Amino acid sequence: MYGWQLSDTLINHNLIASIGTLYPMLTRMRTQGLVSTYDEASDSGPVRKYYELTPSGIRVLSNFRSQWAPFAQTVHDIIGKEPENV
Amino acid sequence: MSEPRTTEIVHVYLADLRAALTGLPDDVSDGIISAVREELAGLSDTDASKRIRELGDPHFIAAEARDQEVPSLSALQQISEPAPWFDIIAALLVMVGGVVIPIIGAVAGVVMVWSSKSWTRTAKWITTLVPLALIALTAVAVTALSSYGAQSAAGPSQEARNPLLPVGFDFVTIGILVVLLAQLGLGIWLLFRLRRTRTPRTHEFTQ
Repeated sequence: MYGWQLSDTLINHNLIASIGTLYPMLTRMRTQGLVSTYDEASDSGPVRKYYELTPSGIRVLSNFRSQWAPFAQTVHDIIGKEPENV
Repeated sequence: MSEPRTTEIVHVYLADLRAALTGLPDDVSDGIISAVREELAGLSDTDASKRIRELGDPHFIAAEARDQEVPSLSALQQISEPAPWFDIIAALLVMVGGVVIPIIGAVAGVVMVWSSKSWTRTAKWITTLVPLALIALTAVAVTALSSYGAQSAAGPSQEARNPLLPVGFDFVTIGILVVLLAQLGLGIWLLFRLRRTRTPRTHEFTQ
């Protein structure tokens, strides 16, 4: 995906507020070697910078996926329901 | 391939965005501007205006980017550390080291300033080059005056020297005084910069 697509997707899912939120994260991920970039011409003309996961990024994502479900379940168990005695 | 047409409204928006992103790391601001430019390139005024509305105020984008910036470990260490004696001694040596131990004292101060991380590279260059520039100016003045004196002495008129005009020796004395005063000023300036960079700003990271 290129930068705008990433930003648009995350904004539409209410995960970030603007494109300004995205780029510091992308820069950190690139510094950490989790994503890399390549340029590709688009049909409409401009050359776009595309982002893709590196092998290291894929490993981190896989690890995150395996931890996310139990983590989300734990959070839900703790704060997911209104306390009964209130 | 020719560049896609960019409308005036896009030019203005990109200029506003670039100005709003000032101060952020280059790779962050360049990434944002490139992505926005890519997306807006080739659009009509109407489409570009619609996209720009979706993007929002450049200042909001810049504020979001700043909120995401994590201060580096070195920046945090610099903020939390008190002013070290090493830096204070370095500034004092720059200030009066040349008086206590001529030349060596001042050189030691400059070397200590360069080995410290408390001052910017620009400040270090100023500390190094200002005294050297003053010494060079004095040398040029003395050389020019000596040359003028030699020409006058060799001339046919053999006129007496004007006592109101400074001779080379006066220039050396004045030059030394100016360099010492400059060293004094530079040392004070370094101490002020040290105080400013070391002032705790922890509130920025406790939110």
